[in-house]
Amino acid sequence: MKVKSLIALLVCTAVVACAKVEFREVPVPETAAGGQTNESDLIKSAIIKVDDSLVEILEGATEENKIYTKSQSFNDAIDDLCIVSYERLYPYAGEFEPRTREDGLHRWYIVRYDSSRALVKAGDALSAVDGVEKICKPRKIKRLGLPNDPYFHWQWDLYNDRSINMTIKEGKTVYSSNEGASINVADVWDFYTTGSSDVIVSVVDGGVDLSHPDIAANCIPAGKNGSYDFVNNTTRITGDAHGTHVAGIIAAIRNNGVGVAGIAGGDYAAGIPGVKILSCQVFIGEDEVAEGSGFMRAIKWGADHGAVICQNSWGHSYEYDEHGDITSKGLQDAQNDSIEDYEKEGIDYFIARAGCDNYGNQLPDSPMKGGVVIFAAGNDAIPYGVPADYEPVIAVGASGPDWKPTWYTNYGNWVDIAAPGGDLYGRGFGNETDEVGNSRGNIFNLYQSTYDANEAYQSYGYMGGTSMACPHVSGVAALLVSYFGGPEFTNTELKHLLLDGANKAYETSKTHIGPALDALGSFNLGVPPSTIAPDKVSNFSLTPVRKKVTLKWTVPTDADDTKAVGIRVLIGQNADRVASSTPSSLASGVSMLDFRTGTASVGAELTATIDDLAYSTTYYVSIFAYDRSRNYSVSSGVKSVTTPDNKAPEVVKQPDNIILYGIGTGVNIPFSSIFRDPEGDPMEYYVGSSNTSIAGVIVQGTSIRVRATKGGVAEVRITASDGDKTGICSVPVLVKEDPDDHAETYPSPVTKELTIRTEEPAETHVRIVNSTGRVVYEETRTFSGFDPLTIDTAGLAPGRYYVTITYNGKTYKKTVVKV
Amino acid sequence: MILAACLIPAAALAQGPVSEALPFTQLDYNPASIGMGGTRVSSSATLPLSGVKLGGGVSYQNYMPQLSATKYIGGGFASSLDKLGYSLSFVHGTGEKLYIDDVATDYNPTEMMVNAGVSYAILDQLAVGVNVKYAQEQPAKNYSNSAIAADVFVAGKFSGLDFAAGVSSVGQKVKSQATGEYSLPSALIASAGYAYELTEDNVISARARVDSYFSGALAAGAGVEYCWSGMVCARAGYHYGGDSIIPTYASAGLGLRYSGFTLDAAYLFASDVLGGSFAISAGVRF
Repeated sequence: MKVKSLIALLVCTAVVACAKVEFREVPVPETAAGGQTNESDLIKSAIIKVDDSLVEILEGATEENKIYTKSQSFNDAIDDLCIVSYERLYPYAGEFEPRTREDGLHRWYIVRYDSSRALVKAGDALSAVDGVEKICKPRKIKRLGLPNDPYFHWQWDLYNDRSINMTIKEGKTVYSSNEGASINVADVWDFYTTGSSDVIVSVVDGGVDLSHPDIAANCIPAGKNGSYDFVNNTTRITGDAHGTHVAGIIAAIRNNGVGVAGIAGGDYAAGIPGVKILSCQVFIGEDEVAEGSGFMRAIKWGADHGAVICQNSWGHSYEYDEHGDITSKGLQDAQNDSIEDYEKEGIDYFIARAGCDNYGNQLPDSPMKGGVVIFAAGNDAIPYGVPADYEPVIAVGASGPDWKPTWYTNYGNWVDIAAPGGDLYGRGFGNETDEVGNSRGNIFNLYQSTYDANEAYQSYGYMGGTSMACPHVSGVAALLVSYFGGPEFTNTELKHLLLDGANKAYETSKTHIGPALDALGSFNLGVPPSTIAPDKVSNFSLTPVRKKVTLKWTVPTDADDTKAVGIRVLIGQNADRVASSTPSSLASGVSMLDFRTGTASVGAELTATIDDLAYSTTYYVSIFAYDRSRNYSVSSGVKSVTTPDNKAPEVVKQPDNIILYGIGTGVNIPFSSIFRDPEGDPMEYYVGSSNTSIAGVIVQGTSIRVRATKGGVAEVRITASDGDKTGICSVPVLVKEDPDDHAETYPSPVTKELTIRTEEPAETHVRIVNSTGRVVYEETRTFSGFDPLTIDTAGLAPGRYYVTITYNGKTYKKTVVKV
Repeated sequence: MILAACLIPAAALAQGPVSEALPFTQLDYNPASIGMGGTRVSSSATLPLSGVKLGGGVSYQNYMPQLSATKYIGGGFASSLDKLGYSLSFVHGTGEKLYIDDVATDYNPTEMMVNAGVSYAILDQLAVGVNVKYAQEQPAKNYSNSAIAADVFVAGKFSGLDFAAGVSSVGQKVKSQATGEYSLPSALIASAGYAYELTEDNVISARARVDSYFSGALAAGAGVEYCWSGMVCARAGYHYGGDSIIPTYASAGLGLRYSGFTLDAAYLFASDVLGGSFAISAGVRF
């Protein structure tokens, strides 16, 4: 069969694929607050290897653009697992297709399924398919040494591994985030510095929230010689979102396990403070326009109070229409606009005087002689910008997650450098949004502590604009001063490192916004590259812990760099393939992970964890040490490790049968009260009801809430999964529409079977008489709400019947009509 | 995998009861009979031998009030000319409001029966009669059952002794919506009574009746009546229901007669089902 192309096949609707669903289930990740999950959490995948016969079937279905195949067992898996798509793991390879098939790579498929609707475990469903030879879980690549700030994974501007989907299609144009479209600062943190409290950055902006817990320690307190409000001429700073966001990009406390990481925010875990923020408030609250008189005073204030970097995310204001777009008059004004002399002299003052005494000599405690003034280019999408176009300042344009200029950035040859500004207002890169609809293509950082409009993050949120791009440059400048600063280090050298170290590969001529800010490039410009690879890791150990392996190794030496700065770990299930892989060339089935040395010295023993492994599986591991220039050592040899067997989650306490008195009533059952995982693995929970019209199930936090919707009996099922095995608990639910009706008879009219339901089990006397009083049925027996009495009424002639039910000393009378 | 399923046990399925359709066709609506344990036969066969040329009346019965009362009202007339007798009567019952699916409805179930009879005295002391009746019930809104049935009796009277025997409620079957057809409560019935004059103004009567149902059930009743001066009668009776459609009960009754007008009443007791039921009637006969 000739295969032209293989594409993912999407099911028209999940309902079609899941027509056999009996239990409507809702996944509840244990760690998710409120039990909420986004769509990407629900679509999971598995990788399978299939035999040639199934390959032919799958390729046939793919060619016909169908998801259902001629394999009944595979179709069953589609229904049971709610498979939404499948495609070749190694796509059609054109001229290389013959050798791709020769090596059997065409037999690998990736199957995506809706975990929220799946009735069975993926492993169970796929292993039952005829022709499936192997089932694997997709591996993730992870790096150690990145900060532990919980929102760091949203800061693509600092570290972009494409984990955030920011691809959109507009017409025929596809915009996509490129791996590495960030300021490339992660290696700087490991190899050079995370910032120094000797460096002060004055933030001329709205007030910085000096009490924000994720930046407070890196801020200079308000005072007559500290942060200052130039609007009201007071020492009371009023933090606003813009000013706090800008300051957070520069100096939010890094690696503190809280919120976000600032570029020069230090290393909280290592006890290293970040650079200092001097808040010079020039805006009132969230006002976007302010009188300019205070601005120059604020700039000068920084120079006079220790700042050597002056951060300015503001510019001249023109005329705008109701949509915020610049008018033709505004454009004309912008074209004719130029920096005022008082502005020039204020900026010149900072550049010349920052870090110096009155005689122009560098102050002994200043890290730099002279200052650098950095300005945002502006957001009007025009080739003008004042005062950013003043030649002595560094003008910053805004790039997006695709390295390209954003649609809004001002541009021109006067723009010196580009930095991530985010996609303003989410007009692009909106494919993935947060819980409140913000485009993750914007820049995520601090809001003031009192900001309550965004309940999802409280004192954090998204912003976009050259206002956000500018502090990225200020932050990297602060890192450079932190590392290279000291006696004789000048502002000229800093500009050289910043601008000449920038990444020119993505510079565009059409709308010039300069080369891309490249933190590592700037540092490497100042430090000669390493040429000698480090020694190999002489010894390492692997210890299995559940689905993880603990790796211990000793930091090796490096002839020209003192020590190795990290190791690359190659891991796979095939010893030969791991042995034949190199750090830059991985054999099939081999994954890699990087772990950084950080501040550890040569000879220090480090520990890291390789997670996301499978139970009861043997892995082979090879290690290569590397230096800051990515010179790799030889391999440390291949070692094996076998992960232990896994036990399924256990039901530790079977919940009592549930009786709900009245429609709308409900009960909560904490998952943790039912299940325990023997290995202590985190569990995901799935809940369902055999009849949602009787007992609905919803999720409230880490509990299941069972809610009465109609009288009757249903069964609620709770499934706990540790990712490998599952435990199931079912709980009968009795819903009584009338709370005061302690003996229900139904249906009425009855045709064949009459059911009599009480509550708790009790010996009960039942008598049925016809309309003339004849006793047609009389019996005493024990039954209950969950074990009701059912009477075959086929022998009863149509008519009225009277039922008396006596239990627990009380008698209840009912009328039943047989038809 | 640990499976801790708490499956709902299979419901206990009781052996199915049986019953007959339109049971009210066998009810006794005559208080003079009810007071004596329901021992009289309601058949036109007795007309030619009764000496009544023309009679009529109305009745009311509150039946089975302890469970769910059905209130019957009825009326009719009868006449005999020489050897020929004929009668026409009706009864209509209204039950208490129903609950369908535990929801109270505005609907009261109803029962209705129309009865037409004709009889002929083949001898001076022996007559035969045929009754044809149409019975219908509507136990719930939009549900109704009906049937046409007949009674055939032979009645005789010799001095103070009278008797009647025949078959009752033989007719159509009633069809269920889902579970087939059901017979009416047909039965072979025999009844006999004897009146003894203690004095001219003091008469004692005794009466007995046996019902052998086609379903196999057997019922029997016995009662006595004391009448003073042909004006005031006191009655007592007992009915053994067995598995028949009318349960066991005891009864007492009272009757007044004056110048062709009658007023009768009966009360049922000694039955946890029928206890408290009562019936009254007023009539005239010439």
